[in-house]
Amino acid sequence: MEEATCERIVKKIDMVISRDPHLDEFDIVFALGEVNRSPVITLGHKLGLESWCVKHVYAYAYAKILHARKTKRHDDPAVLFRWTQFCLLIAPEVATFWNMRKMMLSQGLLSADTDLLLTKLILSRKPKCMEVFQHRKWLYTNIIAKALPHQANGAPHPNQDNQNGNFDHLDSEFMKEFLFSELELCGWTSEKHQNNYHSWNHRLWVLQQFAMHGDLAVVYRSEYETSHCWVSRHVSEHSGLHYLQYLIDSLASLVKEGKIASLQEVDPSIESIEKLYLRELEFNRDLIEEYHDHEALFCHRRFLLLRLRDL
Amino acid sequence: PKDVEITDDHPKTLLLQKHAEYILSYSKKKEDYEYTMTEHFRMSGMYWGITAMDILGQLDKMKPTDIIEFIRQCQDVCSGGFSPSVGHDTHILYTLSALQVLVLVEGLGEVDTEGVVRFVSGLQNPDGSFSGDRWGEVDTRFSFCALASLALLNRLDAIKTDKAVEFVMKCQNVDGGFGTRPGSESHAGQIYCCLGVLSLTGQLHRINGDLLGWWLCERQLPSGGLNGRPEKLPDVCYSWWVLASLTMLGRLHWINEYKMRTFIMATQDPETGGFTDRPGDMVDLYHTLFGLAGLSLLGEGGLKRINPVLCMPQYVVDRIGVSVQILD
Amino acid sequence: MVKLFAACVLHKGPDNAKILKAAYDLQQFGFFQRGSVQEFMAFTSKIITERSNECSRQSVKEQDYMCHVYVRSDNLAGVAITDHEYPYRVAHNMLNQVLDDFAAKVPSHFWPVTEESAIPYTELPNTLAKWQNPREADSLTRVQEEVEETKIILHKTINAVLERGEKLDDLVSKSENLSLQSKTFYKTARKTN
Ligand SMILES: CC(C)=CCC/C(C)=C/CC/C(C)=C/CC/C(C)=C/COP(=O)(O)OP(=O)(O)O
Repeated sequence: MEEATCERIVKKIDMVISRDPHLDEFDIVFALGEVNRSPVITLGHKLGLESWCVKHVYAYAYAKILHARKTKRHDDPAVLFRWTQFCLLIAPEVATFWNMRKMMLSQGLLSADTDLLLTKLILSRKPKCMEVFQHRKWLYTNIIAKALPHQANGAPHPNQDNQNGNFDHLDSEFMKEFLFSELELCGWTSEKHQNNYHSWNHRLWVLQQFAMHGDLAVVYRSEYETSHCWVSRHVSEHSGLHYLQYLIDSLASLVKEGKIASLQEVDPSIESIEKLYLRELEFNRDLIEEYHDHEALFCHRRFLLLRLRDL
Repeated sequence: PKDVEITDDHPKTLLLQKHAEYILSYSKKKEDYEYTMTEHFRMSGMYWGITAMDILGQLDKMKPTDIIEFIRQCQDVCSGGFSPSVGHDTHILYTLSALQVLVLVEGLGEVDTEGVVRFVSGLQNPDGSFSGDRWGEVDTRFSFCALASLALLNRLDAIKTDKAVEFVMKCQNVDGGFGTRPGSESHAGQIYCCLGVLSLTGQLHRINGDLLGWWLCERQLPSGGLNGRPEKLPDVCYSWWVLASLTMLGRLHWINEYKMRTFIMATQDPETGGFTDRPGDMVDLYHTLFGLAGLSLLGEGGLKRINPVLCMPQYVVDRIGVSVQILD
Repeated sequence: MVKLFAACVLHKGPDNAKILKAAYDLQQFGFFQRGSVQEFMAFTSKIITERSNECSRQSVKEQDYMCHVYVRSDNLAGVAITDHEYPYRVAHNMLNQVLDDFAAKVPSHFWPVTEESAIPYTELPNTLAKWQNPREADSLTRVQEEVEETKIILHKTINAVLERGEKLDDLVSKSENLSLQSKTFYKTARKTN
């Protein structure tokens, strides 16, 4: 395949992605090549790339990036965005290419939104890719969370109404909204791939970030509810149960530390820590009776019994 | 439970020569797409292949000069770390792989070892954890890579080992296992890494061997294969992560060794050579090393003994005078 | 996940099985994969119906899926495709109910001769939605006759249901009902995970 054709495909992909912020799926679609037809398919907010061209275009973009790195000539950042974007859509495990984007993000050459969209698109095809979660984590810590305090002097704030000068409050609201959407993303990826270790690990990390933004009862209440729902529909998934364990344990410590006034803020029927674990034991028994033979449920039970023993 | 079926069609004995041929042929085909697609972890791939060749007793078929030259090109003069391949970024994962290979082919003198010490110690965080590279991701895998790298250089003094141990202990869960970070779910791969850190620092006594040993044994499924966490399919790589962990805990005999062996044998591909994750899939170098390494821990004839902490042939570890802690 | 992906009603003729009606819930699959997944589910449903005897109940494991099949004495058959968490007994209860309902609404002389699109039966999508929650759906039907767990024959692989020497892989590559795209999808799907 000619270089010009490869470059055209890379550009076309870039055009589709930059024009539609609601794009939510990317996939490689099996097809034998056909002359005079573009291998880039768009249907609604879905983007497909025909399989016959993948090897050629990837090899092309990959070689281009490595060449640019070797000669240290990065005159046009737009070109590097496109090439790394293409390669990462196909092979998101290549950390070096994410690093290049981190560099560009740090220098302000690339916006965080661009990579939030790209990572999401990649997760639709590879919902357990660790490097993608890592990149989002990095984006949040180093770009999104850092940018906010400076919002007053320049960059547009998502919430322009800052007349009262209460930036802290606004920032915090924005962060919370962002973190809630991140939890939703984790819900989506753990549904897409069973026993998705990295997705649950990411969720746990997101939950930990809320500690900085106050009002813990709200997030714990919704996570507590969501988790129980999730677990009762995924009875063999230990990762979801482990998350629930983490949630309960942190609830218990938050109450002990006085960071949440009472467990009843989370669920009115729970008046003590003991009750918290006992309720869980009941819930677990119901699931075991309903769905036989699930190791994950028994691991969870073991956890609960150990906790209750040590109360 | 979810598991695989092992039938009479699957291999039952070790196809030693086939595996050596597979590894050799792998390192020869450099043009195709697959080779490009694996370049971002080439250094580890090299470690898997060379270590496998050595335990197969066929290291003489590899060319040390080419290997050392490749590794030299992957060292970054500035940071001191190694990249997986020329043109990629440095990372602690590939730094360990590079050192392992260098020790194996006796080429340590050809690289800047002081640079490596600087790189590794620079990645330790105040809480004792290690980042994988300058972008800051933290994982107990990286703690292991750091400790193992420095142990191979006999330079554990360059970091705060007590802090490193403290961090690892924070990653322990109620089930006795360890995850990637504090609070993360237990995973056999991470357990291996954490036990490795404790072994290299002589701190294994902090572990309740019965509790963790039990969890590790529960990874064995009716087919004989092991998974890495509850209700997952077996994968031959866990015959390394789990068996090595049990060995460190002095409890290897807790698993059914006969069934384990049957499973590992069944993951060989009699046509191409090499091992797959599960019977019937595609072979690769990663599963080939860990299949062989697992068999070596079980004492399979014809294979050299392997060190359960460093995953390198025992004679090599002896040669550099590194000793590891094993519970009895 | 406790998930029901497909429900099919089939007629088992002397040499092959024919789908009379089918419904799918494939949201969880990628947009571009759904077509192939659906083709496969239909293909597998036919294959296992053809290889099941009259008056038998089987639950067959095929990678991440379970295929539950029930063939009645009148050659009306039902297949449910679920994941591993969906209780087998409940899947078979559903099949009972679906087949009874189907037989009551579609006269038996239609079965051997009518095309899927011409069959006047529209209940399946609703049934599929309702039975997504096994606990609720099952308790609604408890009053009816229940399937005994012991009557269900379990198979660990689909090859165990096939005739001697037959392999699913070969059937897939020989099949004329599967597109090239679906065959490729099948091959690559085996290797991931
Ligand atoms: C020198 C040696 C032998 C090792 C170097 C140290 C390293 C890199 C160890 C890796 C250990 C390992 C396998 C960690 C597991 C990481 C993890 C949490 C994987 C989960 O990914 P999945 O793809 O879901 O895997 P499973 O489905 O098998 O759990």
